[in-house]
Amino acid sequence: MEDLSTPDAAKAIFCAACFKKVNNEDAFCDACGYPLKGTEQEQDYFMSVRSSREIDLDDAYKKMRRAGNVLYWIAAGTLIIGFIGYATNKFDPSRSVLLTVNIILAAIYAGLGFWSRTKPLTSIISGAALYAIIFLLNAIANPLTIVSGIFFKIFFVGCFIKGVKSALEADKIKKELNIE
Amino acid sequence: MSDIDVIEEPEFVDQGHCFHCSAPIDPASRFCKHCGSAQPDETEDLSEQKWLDIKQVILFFLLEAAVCGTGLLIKHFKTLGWSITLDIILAINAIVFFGFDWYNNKPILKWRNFSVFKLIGYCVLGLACSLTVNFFVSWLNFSLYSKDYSYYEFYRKYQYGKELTILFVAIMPALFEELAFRGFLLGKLLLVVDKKQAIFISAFLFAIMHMSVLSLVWLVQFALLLAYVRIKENTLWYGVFIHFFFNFTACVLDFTHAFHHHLR
Repeated sequence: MEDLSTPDAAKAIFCAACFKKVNNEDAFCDACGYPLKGTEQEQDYFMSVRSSREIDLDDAYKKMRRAGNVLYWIAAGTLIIGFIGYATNKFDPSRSVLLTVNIILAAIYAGLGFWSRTKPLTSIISGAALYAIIFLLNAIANPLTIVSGIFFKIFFVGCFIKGVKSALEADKIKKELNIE
Repeated sequence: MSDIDVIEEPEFVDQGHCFHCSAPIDPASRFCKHCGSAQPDETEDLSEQKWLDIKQVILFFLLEAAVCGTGLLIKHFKTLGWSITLDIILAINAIVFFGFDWYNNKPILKWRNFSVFKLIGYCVLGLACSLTVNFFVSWLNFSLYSKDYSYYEFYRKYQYGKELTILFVAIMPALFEELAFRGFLLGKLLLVVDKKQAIFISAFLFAIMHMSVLSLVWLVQFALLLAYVRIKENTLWYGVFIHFFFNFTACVLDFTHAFHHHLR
């Protein structure tokens, strides 16, 4: 906060919390609410609240990353199931078509997983929708598939839901803290 | 009429002053620089609302997928009666979800910027897309499965087969898929994510709803076009016509194909 006392900083200084340009005469940062002219105690309190929100943000990022990883795992699973199906159904004439479908699906999941690093909300929603539709189609064709690997499925869906909610939460916190 | 949007928008008229200490502040400020109070911001508490919107999207999507999947996979439902019933259920699904938020959705049913030239342009665009896709798809289907897939095949054995094909392949989907995906779905997504992402998600969901890996390639692009046109023109109707001409061209191609086949 030395900047405040230097005579050279006549007009523009930067907020110590969000680094936005603020005017010398402002008592508070108008982007994040930092008490520019508050006591040291007020400023410390503000910073501690802010850092606890930053921890929330980190937590949200972690959940989004995990939802993105789930897309990679599903891609790998789809690929493995595709190859197992191909190897075990030697006399099924449609086995190569099924393998191709599985490879394409795996590629889409992997692509969405990769994309989840930059556009988490969009790719998680798209990936979850694709996962849901494949689940539904399998369930309609053969209701027994609902229970196969049910714990994985519940875990995946849970990760997707948490990922989407965290993406919304992260947007909110970023706005609150004036990050980006 | 055209300035209704402008009138409806500004709710916080006195944003130029702090709501707490009334000191003049920049309308874009999130906090008052004099007293430090957070300024009321209509986008502030939206994350709960956004989650609610996403849940509606999920419910809509699952219902739609369940109906489509049932029609696609269960033999019992592959009759004309069931096919029509499922189409009607999809239409009702679209109407209910669209109508649920009628107040916010109804503006896109208006056609304020109607222009004959534009309409003809979009119809020709739909037709051209359809011809291109049909050319590639029949080539692909033929080279992959050595057979040709036809919409008409299903309705052909019935009386008024051609009329039924046009009704259930060209008219109904053009109206109700547009209402569902470019009306309800895109509208909801625009409340949650930005335009580009909303266009992508709606296109991707539309494409996978058709449950065919092969058609994904062109369906995504076609749906991107439809969603883009819907946002650019701010009306559903141009999309309805593009979609209609796209499917109608496919029907006509099927008819001529069947006719030539019959001659042989």
